[in-house]
Amino acid sequence: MRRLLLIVGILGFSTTAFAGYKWGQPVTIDTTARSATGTMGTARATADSVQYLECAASAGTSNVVAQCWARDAAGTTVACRSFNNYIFSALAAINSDSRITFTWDATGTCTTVSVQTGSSYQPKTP
Amino acid sequence: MTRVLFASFVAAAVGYLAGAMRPTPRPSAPVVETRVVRVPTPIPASIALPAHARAEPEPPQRRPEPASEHRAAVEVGRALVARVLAAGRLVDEDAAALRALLPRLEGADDEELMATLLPAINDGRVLVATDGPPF
Repeated sequence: MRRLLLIVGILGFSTTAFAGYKWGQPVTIDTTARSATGTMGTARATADSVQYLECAASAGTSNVVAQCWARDAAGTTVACRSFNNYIFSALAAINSDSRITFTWDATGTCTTVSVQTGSSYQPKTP
Repeated sequence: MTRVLFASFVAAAVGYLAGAMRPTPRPSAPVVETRVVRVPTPIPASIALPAHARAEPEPPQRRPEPASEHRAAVEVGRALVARVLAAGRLVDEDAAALRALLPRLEGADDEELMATLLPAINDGRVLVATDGPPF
């Protein structure tokens, strides 16, 4: 019995010792600063069935369109849209575990899109 | 005697002629290699075609949307945005209509429409009551 407890203890300790730093951020919107941010995995994993964080990139033969949307737990929704090539290109870095931050101006045009991907971000789960 | 001399002369002559007519062996014919080298010749400017005339014909372009259809799309978009602003709500049907409409708008019209709608969404004047994104 004592040996069993020892093994369980070692296994538990090992799991803790080798777990990396984990971090996630639900959708956070600042309408004054015109900024929205969050990690994809955390936004999806929240139990509220309200939050989302999403960006889309589409291209035609003569233009590109980038757009991002976010809704926080309180139901505040923001969106921006841009025809800028740099903004459009940044969206290519997004994956399902990314942290996305976007800002917009008074006309609703996206002014920045920041994409971060790291081991600490919670992966998206079903 | 004369006959003998004549016969000898005739025999010599025949022998000479026979030797002269025998085909002489020719040396083996040399292998001749022919190469055609094309040296580009500048075309005089007086007869040269302009660059656009020499270019490959371009594939057929997609038929531009008729102006009337485009104007109609712009009007539908303006009416949609006006209705959403008046209602203060954007619902799933509006989002679906916007998604169908936006690709049909040209840049300036798209910008005009969204410059009206997006600030209203972002300022909270329009409540986004959709299951997913508003457009």
